[in-house]
Amino acid sequence: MQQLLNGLFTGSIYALFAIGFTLVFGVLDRLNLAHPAVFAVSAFVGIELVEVAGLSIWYTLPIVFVVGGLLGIIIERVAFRPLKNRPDAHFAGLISSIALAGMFIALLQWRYGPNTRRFPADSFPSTTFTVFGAQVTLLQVAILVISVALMVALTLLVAKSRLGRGMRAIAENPTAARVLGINVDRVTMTTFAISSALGAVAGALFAMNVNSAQLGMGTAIELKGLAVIIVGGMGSLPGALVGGLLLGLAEVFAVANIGSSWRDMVAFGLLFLILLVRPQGLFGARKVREV
Amino acid sequence: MTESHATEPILKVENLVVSYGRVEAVRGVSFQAASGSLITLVGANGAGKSSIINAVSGIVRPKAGTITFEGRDITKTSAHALVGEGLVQVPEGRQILGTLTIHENLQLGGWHTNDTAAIREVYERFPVLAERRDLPAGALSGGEQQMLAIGRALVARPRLILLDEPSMGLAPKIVDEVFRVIEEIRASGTTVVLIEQNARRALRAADHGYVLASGEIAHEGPAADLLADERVVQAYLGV
Amino acid sequence: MFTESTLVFIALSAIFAYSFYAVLVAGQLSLGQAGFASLAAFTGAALAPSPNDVGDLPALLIAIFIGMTVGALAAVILGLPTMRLRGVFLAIATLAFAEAVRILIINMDWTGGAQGMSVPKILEPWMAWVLLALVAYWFWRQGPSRYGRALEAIREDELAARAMGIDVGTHRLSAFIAAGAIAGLYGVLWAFYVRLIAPEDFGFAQAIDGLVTAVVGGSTAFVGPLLGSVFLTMVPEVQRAIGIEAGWIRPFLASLLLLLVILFLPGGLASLLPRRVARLVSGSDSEQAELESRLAQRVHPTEGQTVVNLQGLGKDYGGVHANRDIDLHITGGEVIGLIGPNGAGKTTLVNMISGLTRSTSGTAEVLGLDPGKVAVHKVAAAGVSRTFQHSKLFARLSALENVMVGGHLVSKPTFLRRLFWLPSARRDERRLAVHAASCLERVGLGDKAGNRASALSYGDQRRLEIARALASDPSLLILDEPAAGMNHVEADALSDLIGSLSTDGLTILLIEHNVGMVMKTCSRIVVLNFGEVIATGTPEEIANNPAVVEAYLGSAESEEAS
Repeated sequence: MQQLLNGLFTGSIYALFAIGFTLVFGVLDRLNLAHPAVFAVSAFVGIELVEVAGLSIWYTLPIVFVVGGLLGIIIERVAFRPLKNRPDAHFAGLISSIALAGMFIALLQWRYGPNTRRFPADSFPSTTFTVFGAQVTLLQVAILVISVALMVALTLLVAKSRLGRGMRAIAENPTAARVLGINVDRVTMTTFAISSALGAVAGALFAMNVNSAQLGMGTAIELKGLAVIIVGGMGSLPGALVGGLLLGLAEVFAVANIGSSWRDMVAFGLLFLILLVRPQGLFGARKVREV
Repeated sequence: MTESHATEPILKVENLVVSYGRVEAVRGVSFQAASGSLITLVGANGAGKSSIINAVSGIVRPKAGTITFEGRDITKTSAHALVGEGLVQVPEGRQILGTLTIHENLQLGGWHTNDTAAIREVYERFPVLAERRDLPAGALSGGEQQMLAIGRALVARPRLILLDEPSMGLAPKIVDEVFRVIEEIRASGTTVVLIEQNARRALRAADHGYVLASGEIAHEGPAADLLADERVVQAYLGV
Repeated sequence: MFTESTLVFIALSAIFAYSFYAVLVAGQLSLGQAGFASLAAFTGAALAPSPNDVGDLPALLIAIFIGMTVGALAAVILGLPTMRLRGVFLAIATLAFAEAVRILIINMDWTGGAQGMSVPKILEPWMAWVLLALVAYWFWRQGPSRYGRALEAIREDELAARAMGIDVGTHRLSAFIAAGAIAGLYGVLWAFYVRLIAPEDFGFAQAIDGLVTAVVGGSTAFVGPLLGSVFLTMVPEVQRAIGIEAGWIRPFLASLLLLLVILFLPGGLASLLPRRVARLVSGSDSEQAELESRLAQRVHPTEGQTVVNLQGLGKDYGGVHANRDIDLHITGGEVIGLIGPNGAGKTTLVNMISGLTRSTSGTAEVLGLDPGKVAVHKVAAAGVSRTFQHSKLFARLSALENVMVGGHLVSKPTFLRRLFWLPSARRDERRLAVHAASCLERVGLGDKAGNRASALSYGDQRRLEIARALASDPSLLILDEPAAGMNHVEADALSDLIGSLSTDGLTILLIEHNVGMVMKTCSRIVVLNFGEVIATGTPEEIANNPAVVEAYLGSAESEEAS
């Protein structure tokens, strides 16, 4: 049971991270590999806000959300918009976002140095609960609640709001969306901003969960995020949620039964399996973009 | 239809040149539409009709020439701004968003205007859409999709509506219905610019017509005259 | 600045970049090379005999042999299941493979686990550079060969490549294997230089580095990886020389450089060099005629022989009938026109005949086989050749090269012979070039042979498509709206060309909207509407058929009196 809950908590962070990835891919058909860098940046920024500005960890989250949004706008403007009409836009976008990620991480190193940083000692509330015989901290519950809440909010936004309709229109047929009078550039920018904002919150939550932030944390989670969105289905929001939780749980059980050094293999095992058996993922639809 | 007494046509296109890379699809085309009239551009495939419409509606930026709408120069204005200014296109192939519901498609038509009354009016005009409003638009038949596409354009309460091949792929009886709707729209005061492969039908509905071939205007004149003109048949059939 | 280690690392990173180049040249974004290198390094180091026993160089060579074999095998293991994946999916799958290999190796005892394995240092700079030269040589010879062109064609437009008779699957796999072998070479060389190899040496960061080097260098010329490697290895050296020490500035500048390159120099550094296009040195006329006549000739169906036989053919897309109940019989030498309004199902029908689309009802026989049951390239091999409604030219290749790819089926493989500079390879290449040039002449593009396909005017591009389709000496030529965008003069010239092709024995199926041209050119016309055949007959019969007039000019029935 302890395992189950731990898996759920980690899984919800994976899911929150992955949902940003899949939002951009689903709407704009682009893989944004600067997303993991935003994850790392927000972890460090979160720690700094607590350490330096003395904020409680809960107040850092909205700030990190905004910072993530701004980074998302930068990523869209610098790495993706200039490539809009190029025939190799997919590939080039991959590389340009990798480049931007490198720049972000280098800047992190400049400001914070290469070492692992941690939250100050008294940052976390010490309340614990006992649920079905397992120990659960307030922090963990909060992580789960916040992650799920944000993902639900995103799903509602996409399903019910004007912006969400615009996103879905662009996802299905960008030319038709333009004809309808949708400002495709503006909606694209907003999509990136939301995606990065969510990734940023995921980063801060992850840092809180393990009480550390390192320069390499983005890379470490990047492949897992990719595995989650492929397993869940590229472009599917519920897929990212389910996929993330699934991965979290699978990892915990693998560690318990096979050994901790094989933990990261779980993601790839799932990934390969899905790619061979059902490439569109659990919830994905076979989408054919009319060119 | 009697001639409009407005001195300036609502739409004026002068010496339009549209090219895609090194290919000149439209070579110096000029035409105009009087307010409240229905004009039509006919011609074979590849003659440049769609390129002209796309340039007018702001999807494509012309290489040269000017486009004036209600006295304003809109040559460089992009599509999303034009919808807000009362100029809407119903694109070729309808471009319905099949994964969204009918109601959502109509709501998207009102992206700029947010006019729920307009949506109600569209439902009154097309009851079949009202019946199925929460179904995905992809489930509609071709004719119903065309109605949806037109309805979607009407939600924005346009003063000028551009229709790109509305009869494409539709059975003749449905085409009659579509044209009936088009005439109703015109009767309500909206100017209509119609592109069609089905030249006879289009010319019968229009006030004024332009025949395109190879990116240029080969003939023009009052629609009734063109209908009776043998040269048009020849130019169109290329014989 | 040029220490021994710098020299070695430039060579090694160039070799690693070549392993990416090997797949990028075919347009495949495979990122698994780090995994191949890792497997090769550990296996080679573990299985090779000690240099004390057999000597330095022999030990290295044996290790290289083992490593390259392991790398190639690993590539096959990765390549086969991922055959259907494209683009981003392929990138992710292969990246995951590399990571999985890393974890696998960490967890195994014989590799030393996370600690790594120690390896004697044998490699010297001259060895690394000799091997690099060999790898570069390989790709230098590959480029202008039939195989190299096929890979580039796959990169530019995979579907068009299939339609030219290229077996995309085997070509992709062979590119993978080359990548695997070269990555294996890199792994072994690395192992025998750095003395201690650990799984981390072949991780995500290295995979990205290799990709970056390949992209910065460029994949359009064989020197790309070398340029990329020199450039990227020198950047930190230069930074150090001008006094930039701080640990974060170097990666920052490297990333910034990468961003600038991808934004402003999409072809990489190699694109700064003029692309060497296949050039034709003209010989005498009789020499040309002699050369041309030896190109493989197909036996074409004679008059009256069945070329195409469709019965009840239909295509159903989940309730929408693109085609329904089509009966069509075409015999040798006919010129058939296929007309009908937009959306009538003409292109779908033609796609079924050429094997691009599978029918959902009825039977089809084209030149003796069922196009729905075999791969596209086999249909091409049977003698079907086509152009496309929206030009599918190989954009970055020259006009001549485009047509040479078109001649894939009638030319002989030249790559292996080119490696050894055998003169017969040169003769075969020349023969193909002459043949391609004559196809260009036929459509009136003889003087534009050296132009890039993407730089041609629209009308010229349409004609290039036809030239390319002719190059395979087809029995059935399908033209999909070849006259689109042409004026009367150009359309007349096209009509004459089609007539002359028909005289030469080709059977031609022509989709066109320019009804006048169709009337003039075709011996028989088939009219489609709403996916069905509504009329067939001679041009005169069709012109006088009221159903056709109605389909095209619109219904004459209506309430209004004119």
